[in-house]
Amino acid sequence: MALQSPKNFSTQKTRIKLVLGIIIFFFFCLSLHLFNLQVIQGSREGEKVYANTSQNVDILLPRRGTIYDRSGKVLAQSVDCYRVDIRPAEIKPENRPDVASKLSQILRIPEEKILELFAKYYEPFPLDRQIDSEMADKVKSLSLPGVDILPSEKRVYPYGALAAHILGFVHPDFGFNGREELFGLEGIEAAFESTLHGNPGVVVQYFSPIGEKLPIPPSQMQPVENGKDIVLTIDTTIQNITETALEKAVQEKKARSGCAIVFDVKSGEILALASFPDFDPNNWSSVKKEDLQNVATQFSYEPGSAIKFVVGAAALEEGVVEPDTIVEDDGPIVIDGNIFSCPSEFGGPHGKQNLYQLFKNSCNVGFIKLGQMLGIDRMYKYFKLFGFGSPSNFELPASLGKITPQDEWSKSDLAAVSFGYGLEVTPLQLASAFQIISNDGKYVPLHIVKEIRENGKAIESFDFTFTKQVISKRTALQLREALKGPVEGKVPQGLDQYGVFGKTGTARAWKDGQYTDLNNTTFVGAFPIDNPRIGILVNINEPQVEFAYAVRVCVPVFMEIAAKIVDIMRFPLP
Amino acid sequence: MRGKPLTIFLLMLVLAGVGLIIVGSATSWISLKEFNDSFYMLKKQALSFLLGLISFLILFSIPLNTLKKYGNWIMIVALFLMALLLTPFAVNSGGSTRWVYFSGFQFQPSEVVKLAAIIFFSALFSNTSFNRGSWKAWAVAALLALIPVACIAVEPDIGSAITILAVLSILFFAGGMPIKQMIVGIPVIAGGLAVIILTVPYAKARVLSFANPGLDPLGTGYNQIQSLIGVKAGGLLGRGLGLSLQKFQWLPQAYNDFIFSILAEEIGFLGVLAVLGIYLALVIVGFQVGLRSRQPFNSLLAAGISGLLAIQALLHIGVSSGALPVTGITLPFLSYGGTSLLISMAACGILARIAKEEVSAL
Repeated sequence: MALQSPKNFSTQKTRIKLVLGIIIFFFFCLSLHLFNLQVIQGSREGEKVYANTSQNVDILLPRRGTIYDRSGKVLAQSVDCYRVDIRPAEIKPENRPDVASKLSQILRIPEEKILELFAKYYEPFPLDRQIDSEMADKVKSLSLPGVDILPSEKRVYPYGALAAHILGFVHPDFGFNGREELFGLEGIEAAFESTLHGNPGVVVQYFSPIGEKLPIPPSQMQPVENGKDIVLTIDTTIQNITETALEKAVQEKKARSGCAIVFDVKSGEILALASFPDFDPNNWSSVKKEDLQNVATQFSYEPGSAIKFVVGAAALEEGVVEPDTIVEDDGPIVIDGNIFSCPSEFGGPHGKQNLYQLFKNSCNVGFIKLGQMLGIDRMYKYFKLFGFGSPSNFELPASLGKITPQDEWSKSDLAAVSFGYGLEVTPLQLASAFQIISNDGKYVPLHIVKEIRENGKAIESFDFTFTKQVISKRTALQLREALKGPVEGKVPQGLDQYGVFGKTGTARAWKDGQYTDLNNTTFVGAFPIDNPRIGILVNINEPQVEFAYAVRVCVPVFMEIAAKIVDIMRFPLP
Repeated sequence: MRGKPLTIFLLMLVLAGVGLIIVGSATSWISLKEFNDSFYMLKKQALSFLLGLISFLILFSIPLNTLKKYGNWIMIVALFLMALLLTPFAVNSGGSTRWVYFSGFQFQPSEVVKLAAIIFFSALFSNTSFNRGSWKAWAVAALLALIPVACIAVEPDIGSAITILAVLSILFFAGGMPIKQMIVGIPVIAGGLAVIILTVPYAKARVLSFANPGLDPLGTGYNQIQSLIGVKAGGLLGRGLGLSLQKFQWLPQAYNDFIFSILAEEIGFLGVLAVLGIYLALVIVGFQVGLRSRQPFNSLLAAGISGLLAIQALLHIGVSSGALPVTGITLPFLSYGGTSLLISMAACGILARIAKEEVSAL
């Protein structure tokens, strides 16, 4: 076979070189194209390129923290359960009666109700949020299209209504990525929402187009962080005693509402905080709005005579009186045209009295005179020092109360405030002020959260040993002696050996811009007098019985609670 | 073997090795599901690789003159194999008839035809009796070229038809087609392609979905969208060998017509660039071997074979990366498929032979 002509062959080689050049050029272009796709676009989109395909983002919901009492009893806890979600669009109209009937049998929801909901919603909706695993399995086994079983969470309050106002409750709402989660709506559940809630985790799972889980380990983009636990200062036993005594009194005295606070005067820890009417947080959806008010922290009222211990403390601390100084009630006092007096039904005029007698008689005229001796500036100063009208750092939502600004006080205001009118306080503020007297003049904030725990270990403790000396120890001791007056002869046997001191207060209830015929009654006291440990405040509002005075309404409740606490805590005799 | 033949052999081995690795990764899930053995398809491919090595050695040992001499017969045998597609031995899959099944053994005649046509036309154009100046000679050559192209196109297998058309175009061009004839020929080819695209419904749909993959994301645009996801997900360094997500049936034909997408997903841009570099190295060496040759037949044959490897790679990668409309083209050495691997390795055997004969001729 002969060779081609050299000319043809060289043309062939030139052309082959040209072809090679074109191929190299195409390879180069393709590399640039791939660089753009993989490096530029790829790094911009990252893992997101898989969105809507193989990746399925799974949200791991955090476990809500548990709330414990001081001894570790569970007051609120989350448990796993299941929910039934319905996607109505995926249930054919002709199948609906059948689906409704099957679900009705398992979930115990009336068939008509289910059918009604099917018709009402187009978007997916939850039919039942809290079913147990047994029910969930039954529904699952039906494998009904448009009916999903999803993991869910249920909040359980094992003691029912006990400490309801402290704990509050939770309610479901849309959380992370539109997933339903529980959020605190009242009480500690709401106030410590971020502590209790935790943070959801994000896990990416991989699936095939027909939904098979791929043999690729899920990648955790964000680990789940469970909620932290809260330990309250509350003692469940004392809380129970307190609630029982309060509820009984409120009902017997046909009162509108009431509260009781039991606190450790040295540590500031609240051992019990009861408010009535109450509710069951397990069944919060049936709660009436007015029942939600925490009387102890949110009820703001004129305390009446209960405030007099503050006036007494100011007078002693400022040296305007000594315990044996005689203050005379010689009948009504007229200030700026207003008449102030001790009515005869309360034994007025009281005549000459020392401090003990002033407290025992709860003599308005006498305390007005003390107020006048102190003057507006000093009175205002001590009310602020004792925490009235100021925001507190209390853990639960609390009212400020109301105190007239110093420069607006008239002489009448000074007189009114001296016996507990013309200002508003909350029971918690009164208890907090009384803590100062009981703790030798040292202020320790009343508080209800003892510890925040994570995995059983305390990560934050709220111990307040000493924060502020408000009045001298001498003043506190003198005042305590005088405060035995109001309970003289009222302390039951057994308790009397410890020595109880305190102050009653009965004030007209204010409603719709005027005073009513009803009273708000208060007693705040503490014991043992020589080394006070427990303070108790009882407040009962608008009792509708004869002799609706604090000494008849609140003092017995105090004594009942105190006697039981002495029993439980095995107080050593003085 | 040493020098250029050895270089060709080693480059081929590297590519085939990468191929076995990526086929292993891309087929494990489907193998497990279909055959209850995640290595089933890899084992089959490894067997093809061994057969490929044998065919490399066989073709390496056949003198080129013999190939040239029997060029006509090779073409006839290849067309006979194509004709088997009209017999009951043919397997129809996915609407097209591309495979012949013969007592447990399955192969794709079009792969054979590609190589046969290159040998045939290299022989034709290097024959001294071929009159380059005559219109008639080129018209006859063009008609002959139409036979394999048309046979493959009607399977239908537009991708392979376009590949063979492109390779034969290179041979026609390098074989000395005068400018005048080209001026007439190119519009004829372009017109023919346009007619195919406009008349074959699936070809038309693919071109349209290439222009806008979102048009029918679950239909014709699906492959393209899923393939691009894999390529992009690879990024610079890749997700790591075996860690492709798209291979889990998100990308149909992941182990075959879209193997590049899985490769890109697992080894990233740098890895892909390395593989492209090896391809280009093999292609350049192949062309060089041809350019150094003193035999016009050898030179054309080398250009045709190297061109075939280059064109298949460019088309496959172009399709997988969304630069070209979707058409099923295997990636030589990397795609799953015994015929493709065997023929690609046999083709390398011929390239190595050309290199060897040049060395011994010196």
